[in-house]
Amino acid sequence: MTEADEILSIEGLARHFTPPVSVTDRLFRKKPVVNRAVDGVDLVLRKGETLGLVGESGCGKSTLARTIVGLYRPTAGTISYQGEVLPERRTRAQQRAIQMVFQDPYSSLNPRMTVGQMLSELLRYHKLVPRNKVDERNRELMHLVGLPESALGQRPRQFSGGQRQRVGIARALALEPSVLVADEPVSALDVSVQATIINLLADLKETLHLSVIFVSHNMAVVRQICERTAVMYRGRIVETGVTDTLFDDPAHPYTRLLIGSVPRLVGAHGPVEAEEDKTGDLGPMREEVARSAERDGTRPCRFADRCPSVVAACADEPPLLADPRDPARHAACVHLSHHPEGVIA
Amino acid sequence: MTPPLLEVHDLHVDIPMPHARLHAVRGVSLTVGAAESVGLVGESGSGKSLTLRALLGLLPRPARIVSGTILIDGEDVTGLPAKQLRSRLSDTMSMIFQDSLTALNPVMRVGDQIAEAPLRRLGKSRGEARAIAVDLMREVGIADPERRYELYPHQLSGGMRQRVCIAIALSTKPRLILADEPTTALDVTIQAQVLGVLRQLKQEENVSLLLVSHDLAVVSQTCSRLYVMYAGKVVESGDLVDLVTEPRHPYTFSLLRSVPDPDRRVARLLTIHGRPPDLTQPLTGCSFAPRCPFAEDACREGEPEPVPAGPGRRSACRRVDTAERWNAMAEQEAGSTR
Ligand SMILES: Nc1ncnc2c1ncn2[C@@H]1O[C@H](COP(=O)(O)OP(=O)(O)OP(=O)(O)O)[C@@H](O)[C@H]1O
Ligand SMILES: Nc1ncnc2c1ncn2[C@@H]1O[C@H](COP(=O)(O)OP(=O)(O)OP(=O)(O)O)[C@@H](O)[C@H]1O
Ligand code: SF4
Ligand code: SF4
Ligand SMILES: [Mg+2]
Ligand SMILES: [Mg+2]
Repeated sequence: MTEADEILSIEGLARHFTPPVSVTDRLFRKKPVVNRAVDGVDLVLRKGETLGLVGESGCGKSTLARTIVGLYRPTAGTISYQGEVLPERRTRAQQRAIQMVFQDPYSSLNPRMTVGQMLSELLRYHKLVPRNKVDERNRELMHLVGLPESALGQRPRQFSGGQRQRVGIARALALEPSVLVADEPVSALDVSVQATIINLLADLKETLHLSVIFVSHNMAVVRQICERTAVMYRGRIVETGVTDTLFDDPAHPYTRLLIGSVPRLVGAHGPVEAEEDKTGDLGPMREEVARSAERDGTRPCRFADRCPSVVAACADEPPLLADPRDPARHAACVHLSHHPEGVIA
Repeated sequence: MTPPLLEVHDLHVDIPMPHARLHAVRGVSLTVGAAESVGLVGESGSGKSLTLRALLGLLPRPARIVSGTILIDGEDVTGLPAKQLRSRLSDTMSMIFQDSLTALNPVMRVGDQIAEAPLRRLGKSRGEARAIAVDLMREVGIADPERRYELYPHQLSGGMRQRVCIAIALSTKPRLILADEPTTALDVTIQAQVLGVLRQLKQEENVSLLLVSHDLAVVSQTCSRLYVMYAGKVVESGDLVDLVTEPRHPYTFSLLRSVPDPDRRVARLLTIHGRPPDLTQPLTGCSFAPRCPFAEDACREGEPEPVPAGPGRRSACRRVDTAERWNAMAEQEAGSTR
């Protein structure tokens, strides 16, 4: 892979939240606890791919997504778009290039504006089409997302959930982005409607040559539409790889737990079994990890308190490294270089 | 033959609205046997929650039961005086909700919330009630229960809180637990643990379970029989494995084909077009007809009643005899529209 294949390249990206310091805190000189929502993310989005971003609630997926589209300022690290580091204040063209689709399209749409008014305003502000072509472009956008032209005269509350999500997608597409960051775009929808939106996104990606980051906690959906997948855990990426490999042969213990926990229909079994429960005797090892991290001033692996494969070496958090068996895949685990064949990275 | 633990016949629930009447549950019948786990699935708004709540007399205002009978151990309890009915129902069943945070009292220690029923309803002493609560906490997989007894709901994770809710549900020694999307708000790794607890209850304590979910996979992890609801009615019922492998109602069939499989990538997900009917309006035919890939003209005249469709199975589809060909028909359809 060459760098020319990369449309986005994210390095060491962090976004922390510091709670406001209250009077009592100041009185007792208490340091506010910083929430390291995104805490050193390395990630690459390739041209024309759909990259899944999965992980448990609160692990930082939305924060990462919002930082990528420029809604949050990074605390540290860089985001490069087509080889160029994005500045703190993005140009209009840079803003347009990376667009977001939200989980709850209702709260992200102005309830008082009709869809037509909203789209026209965007098109005029960004001067994307000549004034006399705005209506035509609006109609085109409706066709693109599978809504009737009459939808242009309606307000958000007059749509069903699935239709509203189509409006949200139309709004993102109005700016002719090359990267779409979709944050749980189908999570609020019923199963039957989910499928139509997933298919729509897949079609749009092809016809418009989009590159997509697809944030979801639904592993089955990610399996369907993402060529590659990144697994996030407490603010960091712990594994990335080709979706099929990552699902069928996960390398990181958290990925294994995640994949193994997805409920299957009767008769179907996943490739790995969830192992978290067999860990009754690991308490002493976890304590040792915590103790030696404190003694040596290291930070233990952030999965060490739940990991079924924890060993003493986990007291020093491993970085995200290429798997010696399969360089297309990366994982942040001490076992990566000590796999059964004994090859050391 | 001993009668089933719970039988519901022809339950109707209405919601009066300013200018209309929403006929939300339109004649649901179901049974749950002793130590049996039964699932109830269906899309959003199909009436799953209202059905469960009606069974415990917990309907949200202004919803009300219009008609229907509830039998416990074969005895019709619907005619009992209100107070007696209430205690009969709550002695037999208890309920777990989706949102554990609002279901719990925020200013009461979780242990005390579990001990409350043994203390007040089962007439135990304080010490006994506490011991029962600690045992229940251990039973639902809460490690270190003595210490966690003292905590408040906000000090526990979502999965732990849902376990507390299960422990509270068990504290009245019910024979049946009604669970409404108990794991929907949880992360998948935590969901797997809570489903494990529910499975174990059936195996080890012989408690029956009526589990409502929109997720077929979640239900198939825990239940042996299944009811599929659509637009306020049960459209298909039977052994879970049979239903999932050989659906005999087009809604179940379409639902199964639109659910993505975590272990296999398909070229394209099948979709169910359109929306469920507006239940403030009278229906003229099969409620699924506007969305059904196999609908024919006759389907729009009169609503089909559930008919036997194999051993222990029923389907409310007048074309159920063509079920074997549905797969081929759907493939053909998909091919021609591609
Ligand atoms: N604007 C904010 N201010 C302060 N803290 C925030 C803010 N946004 C997110 N956080 C915190 O950052 C952490 C990560 O949150 P985030 O919403 O990114 O998680 P997520 O992975 O998207 O979770 P979910 O799956 O529930 O959507 C959480 O602890 C959250 O409380
Ligand atoms: N308190 C209420 N007031 C008005 N309408 C209600 C009320 N509760 C439910 N409904 C309506 O009754 C119908 C059935 O609702 P119910 O909650 O039983 O659906 P459900 O199958 O549980 O759906 P979900 O999967 O979304 O929980 C829906 O159309 C719903 O909008
Ligand atoms: S580094 Fe250690 S604790 Fe972290 S995932 Fe790997 S084995 Fe588990
Ligand atoms: S009765 Fe007709 S419309 Fe209804 S589910 Fe059967 S085939 Fe479809
Ligand atoms: Mg989020
Ligand atoms: Mg419900």
